Amino acid sequence: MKTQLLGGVLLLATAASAQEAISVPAATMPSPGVFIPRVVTQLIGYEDPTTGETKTHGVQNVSLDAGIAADWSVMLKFETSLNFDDRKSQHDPHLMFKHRFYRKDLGIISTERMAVYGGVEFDDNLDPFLGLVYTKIDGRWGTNVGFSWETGEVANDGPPILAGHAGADLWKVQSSVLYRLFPEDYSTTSDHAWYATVETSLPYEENGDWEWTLGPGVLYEGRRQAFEANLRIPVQQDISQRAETEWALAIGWRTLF
Amino acid sequence: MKLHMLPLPCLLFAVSCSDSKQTIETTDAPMAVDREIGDGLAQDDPTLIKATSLALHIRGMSCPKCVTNAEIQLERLPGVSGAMLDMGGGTFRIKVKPGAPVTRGNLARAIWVAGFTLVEIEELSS
Repeated sequence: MKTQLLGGVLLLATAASAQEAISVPAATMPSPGVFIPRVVTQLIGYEDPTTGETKTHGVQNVSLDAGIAADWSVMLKFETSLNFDDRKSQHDPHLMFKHRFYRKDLGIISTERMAVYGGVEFDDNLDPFLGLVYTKIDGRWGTNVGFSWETGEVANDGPPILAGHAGADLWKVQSSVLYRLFPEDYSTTSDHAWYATVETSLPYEENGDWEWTLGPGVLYEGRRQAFEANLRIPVQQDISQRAETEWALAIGWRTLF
Repeated sequence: MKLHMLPLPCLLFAVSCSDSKQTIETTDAPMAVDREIGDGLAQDDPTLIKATSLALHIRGMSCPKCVTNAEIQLERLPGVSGAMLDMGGGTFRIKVKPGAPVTRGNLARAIWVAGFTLVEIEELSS
């Protein structure tokens, strides 16, 4: 089995609020003038092929009062064998717009929001993507459900590893559930919270490949900083056009300026 | 096709479903605000704030970062300072400099822009 490191600097406009898991999108939005950088690093284990990729995102957030956000990302791709001569890089910028078109605050700690997002990935071609996400927070519970489509891209520096990198369009249903472990009840002195998270994802590629993954994790959120970790494991896989991922460990950090 | 057994996530899901009702009741206690929440207080209300100490009753803030977002937007208003929140009660306490040109609509707008809903302004001292 090979292990690859997917490092990420993810400055993500969608990462404004709590109860957002590490991989599943949420219908959250930073308030105007607030900048949120986010760094996500993933370690991925898989059987074949013997080459992999490392991905780094960098997204600059521009948030408008109307609830539109623009993201910009850079992906760096490099191998992570101990021989650093193997290292190589690739930049795959993303441009993403997100519009939160619905929000309703139902109680003190109760709200629901919906957002659409879309954009393009700039590699050799312009690869568009589009998604819809619903978020509900009720007391200690947070739930996100998302549905997305993205154009398939062809890995150009080795066999494809990630869903959507084997050339076929990718359809994905994702969901996450977050539960606030601490504090049980907020008070005047509450300045941080711990959450248990579970993410699930069902990507289907139009070449017939699909998998179902589950990922338990943990999220710490302070007034400005948040740290998160998640272990994603496939429950079922039927993959023939790309590598079969065996597990993925993601670690993330975000802050608020 | 591969099949992997994952008892831990399944267990977490099971726990979350069984415990939800109690959780909501304990963290989301009703407040004495006798009105529809809707979109909150009018953001174009020109009524000047005369009190120097206020309690803002807010809906939708679920996390520590939400508080920071709201603080940032409130403290951008001229003369507003010292925002402190009781997250459990959804109540922000703020101070307003005497004579500062802050309206009820300004406060409702600031909270809305931060991503939440202001449902009541309580004047604590003038």
